Amino acid sequence: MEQTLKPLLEISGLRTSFDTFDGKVRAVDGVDLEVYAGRTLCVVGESGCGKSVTARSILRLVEDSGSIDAGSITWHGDGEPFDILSLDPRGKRLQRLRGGDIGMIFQEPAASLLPLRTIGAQLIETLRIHTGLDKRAARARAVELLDAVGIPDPKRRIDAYPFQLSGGMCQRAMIAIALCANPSLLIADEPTTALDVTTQARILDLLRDLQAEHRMAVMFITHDLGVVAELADEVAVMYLGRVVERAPVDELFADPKHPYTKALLASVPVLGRDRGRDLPTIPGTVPNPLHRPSGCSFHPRCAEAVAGKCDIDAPTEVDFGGGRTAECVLYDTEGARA
Amino acid sequence: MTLKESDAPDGMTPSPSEVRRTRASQRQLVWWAFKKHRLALVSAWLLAAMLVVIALCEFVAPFSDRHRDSEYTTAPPQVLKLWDTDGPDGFRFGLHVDGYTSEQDPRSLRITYEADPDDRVDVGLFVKGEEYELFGLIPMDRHLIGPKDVEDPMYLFGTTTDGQDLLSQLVYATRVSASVGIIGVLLAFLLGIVLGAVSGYFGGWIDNVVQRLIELIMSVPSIPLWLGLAAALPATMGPVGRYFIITTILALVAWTGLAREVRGRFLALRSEEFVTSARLDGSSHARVMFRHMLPSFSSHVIAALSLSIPGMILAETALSWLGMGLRPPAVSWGVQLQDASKWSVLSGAPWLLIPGLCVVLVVLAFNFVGDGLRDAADPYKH
Amino acid sequence: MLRYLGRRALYMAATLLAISLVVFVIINLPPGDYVTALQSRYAAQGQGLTVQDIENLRVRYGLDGNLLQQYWHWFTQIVLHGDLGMSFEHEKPVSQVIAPRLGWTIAVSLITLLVTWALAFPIGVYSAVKQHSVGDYAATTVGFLGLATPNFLIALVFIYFSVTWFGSVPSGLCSPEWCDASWNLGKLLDLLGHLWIPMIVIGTGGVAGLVRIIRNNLLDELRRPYVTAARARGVPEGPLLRRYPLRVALNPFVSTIGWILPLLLVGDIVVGQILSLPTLGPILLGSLKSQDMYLAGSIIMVLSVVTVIGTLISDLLLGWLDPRIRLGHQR
Repeated sequence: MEQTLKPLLEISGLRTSFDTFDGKVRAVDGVDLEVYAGRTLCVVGESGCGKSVTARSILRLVEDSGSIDAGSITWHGDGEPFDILSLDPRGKRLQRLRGGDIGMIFQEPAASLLPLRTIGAQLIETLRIHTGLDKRAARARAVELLDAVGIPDPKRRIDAYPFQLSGGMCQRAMIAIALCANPSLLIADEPTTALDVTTQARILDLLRDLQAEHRMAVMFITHDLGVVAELADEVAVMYLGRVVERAPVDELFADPKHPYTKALLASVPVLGRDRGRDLPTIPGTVPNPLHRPSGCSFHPRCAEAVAGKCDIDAPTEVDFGGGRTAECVLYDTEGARA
Repeated sequence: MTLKESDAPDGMTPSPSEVRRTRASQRQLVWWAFKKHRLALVSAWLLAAMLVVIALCEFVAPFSDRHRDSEYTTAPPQVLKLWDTDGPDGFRFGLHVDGYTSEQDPRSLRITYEADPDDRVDVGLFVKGEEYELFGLIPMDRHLIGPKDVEDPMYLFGTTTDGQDLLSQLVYATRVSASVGIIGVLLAFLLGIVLGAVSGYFGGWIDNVVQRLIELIMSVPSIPLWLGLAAALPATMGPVGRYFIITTILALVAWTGLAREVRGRFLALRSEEFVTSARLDGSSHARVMFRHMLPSFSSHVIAALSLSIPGMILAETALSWLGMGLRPPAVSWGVQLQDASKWSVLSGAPWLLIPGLCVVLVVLAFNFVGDGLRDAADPYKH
Repeated sequence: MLRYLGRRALYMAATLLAISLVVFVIINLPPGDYVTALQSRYAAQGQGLTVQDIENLRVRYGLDGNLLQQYWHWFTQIVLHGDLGMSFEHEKPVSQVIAPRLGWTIAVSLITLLVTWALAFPIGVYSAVKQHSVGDYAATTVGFLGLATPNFLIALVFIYFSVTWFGSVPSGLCSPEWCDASWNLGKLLDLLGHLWIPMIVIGTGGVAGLVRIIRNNLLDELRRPYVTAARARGVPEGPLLRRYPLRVALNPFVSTIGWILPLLLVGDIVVGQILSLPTLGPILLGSLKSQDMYLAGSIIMVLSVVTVIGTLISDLLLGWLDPRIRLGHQR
């Protein structure tokens, strides 16, 4: 059914790597993803799996030591589709894309705002870049936006400095900035990780309401399966720089295909069921991407690994139809269990 | 289908380099990281060589620091040659320098020297020269390099206005100037580490008092303060006493930076679990501070020490150059450079600036080693 | 902001008081006091002072009584009468010796400070933004050399080349024909013509230090999340640099007034010596050598006061620039 949806953003074959002290780290190693207009894609995985780097690659935000080596990121917005990676890094189109077509919010809201300028100044600056409002109109609009993201007393708070606000308030301000130009896609890079649980829930509610209101797509990066269950339409599971499984959210929870997804789901406590027993954990740790295991990179930790197969050849992607894929030798190309 | 631990495939075992990294001691990690800084490594070798020269100063210097040759004042440097072809018997192999011919300007009465290729001065390694006591104990008369006949002039860096061998003086000055820096920093370090540790570890009003004291000392411009204190020294004081007092004065002003560094580290570590557990184990405050906490950032401290030595050396040099620090007959880089202060002298004898080159080199070396160490001190950063 | 101001001002007063104590100690360190020094000087000239003269002088300088009383006398004389004591070397009140030179000292230091900033800021920013470029390496190398070279050595090298190339040494702040002239364009140009040498000699160390500070700070700031976040919302690179990391990197820059001012004042001691400038440096050195302690102590005091005022100004600027300090969220 999802096949009929129009993709808004199409990532294919993305490879991003970083030069480090010990060598080149391939943080994203051939990722394909689609984000559909008006829908929510959750990218889930352990820390270091490359999900954040994927998100940053979209807006060309990888820092100096990193580089995007291959792949294409096609933006289908309003006009002619184009590859974001082929844009001039200092050109106008990329600048309009950032904050205009695509808004982005980050993990540490307080650190993502400059402490020396008021949140109003930073919001108005963005508004004026993307909407061309004059100073007074921009300020009025800024107050409206702060009100819309649930900041109480916005007329006064607009002149507050980030260090005078709580983390939750800062994240709301960040959301207001990200949404000020009515983007068609919001990239949220673990926006609730640094917040406490109640604030986290309120921010998620806010995001869901705003998404419905603005009819925008959301790409939500998280390691929290609870958040996935609550927000996602589609889910992509990442492991060591690759997408290992892709599925609509209900199907993923009901019938996980990839052993990694299964292990992930099994490690989430369920109220009632898990009382008094040890939670299963995934053995081992995420390997250092510098020393990527041969074959399937999950095989050393995999309970279902096939000796002589998984440790030698990288598995190919198996398409089950209906937007479901998995990268695992357990399934043959027709999608049936081998 | 399930794999057992024993037949875990290759990917699970960490690479050899990773094993090496995770099992190495902190010191080894710092050393590995330090070795990657080329400049720091070269500088470290340079400083090591300097330490050898300091230790064997009487042996390395061709002449003693009392040697004075009134026949050759302000003579230019000679070039050390390995063979000559135009000697009386054609090609001849052997270390030598050319002697001098002198000429006096009839109006200014100034004597200028020039190299005289016909006057060959034979130079040897490990030659007999002036007698001295190595380490103040072993009587010796051999010098690393020198003229085969002690009476001959061999001045590779030229001579001073007093007719002293600049090279020999420089060797002795290196001992004095570098040791003022090192001893001074060690003194400053003692003060800094104790006050910084106490200040950062206990916090509260103790911290407040120490911090205010530091800010106070820092707000007085340091060189005038040094000058003021040094000026109070009686002129009759002997060179050794002066050396120690000047070093102490420099240390008294310089400990503040180190104390801040140490305090910051202690403050950051204070709430760490290993500190709490050491306390709960019944360790005394002093033991927690100096056996548990201090070793955990010793590389940082060494880096800070290395970075403080240049300031000390520069201060001594400036002070002595101004005539307020060490005074002849003591010889330091600053004292040597006093010779170059008169522009009428300097214009004819640029080699008098060689000690300045030495200052720059040694200060750079300490800075590079310090920077290299500081970067290497966080081996897990990358 | 008012509380911050009050705290800073109070702190400055305490510092000044403490500095006066240190200076008093320095004045009293050499054996003997002003009157005994004067006595021996007169004796050397074959003149004697009567017992009555000596007694009068001792009362005038409050030299009887314990150290604390002496300090109090000295301190109140300064605060109430502006009386810094007598210089026996110059045979006039210290304030008269210092006053004409203080203006020049501050002028030379301030101009050097401004030039230092004007040079160091763009170099430091360029060096950080274009890290690992040829320009960055050049700036870093020159910076290292500048920090490692004592400023008197720079002056000596300067003199050597000036003598070998031009046959003379530029000295003073003005040419003889302009020195006594009243201010006009010619004199100003002449002054500027002389000023650049002391400026290079005094300022090199400062520029080198500042370039390092601004480069390191900016490199740190450029890696902060707020830079990425601002880029992600489409702020163009130029304004991004100016409005975000540079704003933050400006803070340590401003707080350098506190340490760069004494550095410049000290540079003046050295350079004044070689280039015979009409500043405080040379007479400080002379007074220390002849143990003319009232003069020496007063100059050290004046230099410290200038430093403390510089620190206060930089604190105020910081408070104005950084809302965290102004609103009491830090320090």
